[in-house]
Amino acid sequence: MKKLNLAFSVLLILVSTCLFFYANTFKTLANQKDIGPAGFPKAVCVGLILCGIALFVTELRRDNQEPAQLFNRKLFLSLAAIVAFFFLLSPLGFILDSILICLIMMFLLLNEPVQKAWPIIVVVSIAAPLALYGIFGIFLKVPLPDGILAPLLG
Amino acid sequence: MEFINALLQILHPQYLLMMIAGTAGGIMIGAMPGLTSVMGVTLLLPFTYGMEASAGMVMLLSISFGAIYGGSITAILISTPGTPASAATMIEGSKFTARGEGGRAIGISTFASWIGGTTSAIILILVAPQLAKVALKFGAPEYCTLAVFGLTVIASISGKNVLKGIIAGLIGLLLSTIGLDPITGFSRYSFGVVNLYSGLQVVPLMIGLFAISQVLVNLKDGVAQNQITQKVTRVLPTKEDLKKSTPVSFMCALIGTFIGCIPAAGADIAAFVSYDMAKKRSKHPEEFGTGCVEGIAAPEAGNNGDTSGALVPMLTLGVPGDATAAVLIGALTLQGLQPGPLLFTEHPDVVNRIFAGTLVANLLMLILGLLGIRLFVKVIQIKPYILTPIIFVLCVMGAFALRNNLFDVGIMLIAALIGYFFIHLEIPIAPIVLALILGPMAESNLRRSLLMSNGSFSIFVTRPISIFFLLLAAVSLLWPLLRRKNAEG
Repeated sequence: MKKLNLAFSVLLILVSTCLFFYANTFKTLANQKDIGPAGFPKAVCVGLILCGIALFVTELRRDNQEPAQLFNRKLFLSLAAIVAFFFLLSPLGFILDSILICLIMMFLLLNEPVQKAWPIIVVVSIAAPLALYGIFGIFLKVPLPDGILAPLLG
Repeated sequence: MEFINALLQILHPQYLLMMIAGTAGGIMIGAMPGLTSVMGVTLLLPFTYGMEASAGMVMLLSISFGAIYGGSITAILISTPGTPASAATMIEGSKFTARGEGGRAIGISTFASWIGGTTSAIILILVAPQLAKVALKFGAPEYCTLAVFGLTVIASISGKNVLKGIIAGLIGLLLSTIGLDPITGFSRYSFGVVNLYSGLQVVPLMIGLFAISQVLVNLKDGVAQNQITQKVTRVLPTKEDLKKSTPVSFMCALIGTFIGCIPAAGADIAAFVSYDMAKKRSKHPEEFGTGCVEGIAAPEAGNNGDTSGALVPMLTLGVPGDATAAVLIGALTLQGLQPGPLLFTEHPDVVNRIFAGTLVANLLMLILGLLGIRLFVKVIQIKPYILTPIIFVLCVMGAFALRNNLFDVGIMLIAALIGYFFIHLEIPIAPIVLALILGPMAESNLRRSLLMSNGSFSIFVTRPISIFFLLLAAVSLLWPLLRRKNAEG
């Protein structure tokens, strides 16, 4: 945790500094009598830089704790699935894409024997997106992407 | 006398059925992450065209009261605020659920919401015109200092590590500057991305930071083998819980009503300020953040108190107290009625029925909320490996439904990743949301004030209401130190 906090505070200081200087490029009107568009963001960046330094110093003094385990195989798979889900939303459509992500997530989260659980997983993975599409897409008329099913859904 | 007549009329089936349907629908809308009370009221507005004026108004009011309350259900049970106004409730509510007391938390929240809504309804009925006069005095400096005061609440909601809370708040403030500059109209930090011109939307960011980040944690660590069973032994809160929560609820109802009267200050601000006030006044502030009764009652009473408070400027001056009130103005206009002082003199029957409707709608919310506790709790007893993906898909839809834009879904997912890291860094997330809401209000009004005063900051200390909020902000920041001195001395 300590390494993570130290890394974060350094990142915070670096990003805030970049954003502070980027704020100088903000276009503004002539003869402005207020602080201008860059005033507030710059002040916040200064605050973040100071806090970043403070965090760095306090974390440096702290005893070393056990390292944080941020990633594991399951998380990588899930993240890959979620990224794919996002990019497939338009082409595949909401219903199909959601069915797929539900199936994947349920199998990743499963903590029971597969033989017992797979029927309910399949049923819920299909029923839930359909039900949600019914509420949002049909009843509330939200224009969810239809994707490949567009000819069917009209 | 006319009010009693109006009350009896409201209890007729034609109104009552509309209000029951509206309340139930509102609770469901509020509970679903991504659907806000404004959305619910807007979607059902066209249906009120064919109804009689007060029937349509009381139905829309029922939806809005139900929705503000409904957000607390998911905030408590699945740590996913259904509306931004419930983000403060989630701080304590999630701890109750972790102990298996989710039902108890909902009971307390329901009662507090009822007290909040009813108190503000009574204030609306008795003193609407007088309150409106105060609200009229609010100009840019007052809004700026109110926002500054609201931001000092960050220290209260940061939990143990105030420095990390401040970092979170500053990050939120920086994120709120993305988009078109409110005064000059030029873009800031949008890096050429068209979708960023209107800034980051609070709702997808909130859903990503709170809910989807938790989904990621579950996906990595797996969900607990022994699911925490929620014990629901009784639906009504116990006498001790009521004794603890009622005084706080009344105080926060007043805070919420006052904030509601201020145009453009909404239920989310009311909830956070109420939570902060309750923590400062509590004899056991260390309990806040661990799942305490007052911590649930305060924001819930505050956000429901805001709902009728927002009707004060709307009915008396035609100025909306919040976004929902703005839609209600549309509903009145649809019926050919003009909100404002003349409404009271030309259509007293409509106004009285609206007043009566606010009281009855709050009562219906209490009844339906309590009746629904066992049902709500049953829903979260669904096996986590089934519930979690459903929550994910629901959140995706909620984020999309806001602007019918996949970009918001993308923002939600990026926010989820950031939220995941923040969970591991132990950086609190609520301050980011609060700063994102208050940042634009603070900055745009700061700059407007400076334009009004030709660049002089003295405008903030020469106006009485502005000085009041600055003093409140100072007290709010110094309170923990004063408290410690009192305890030692």
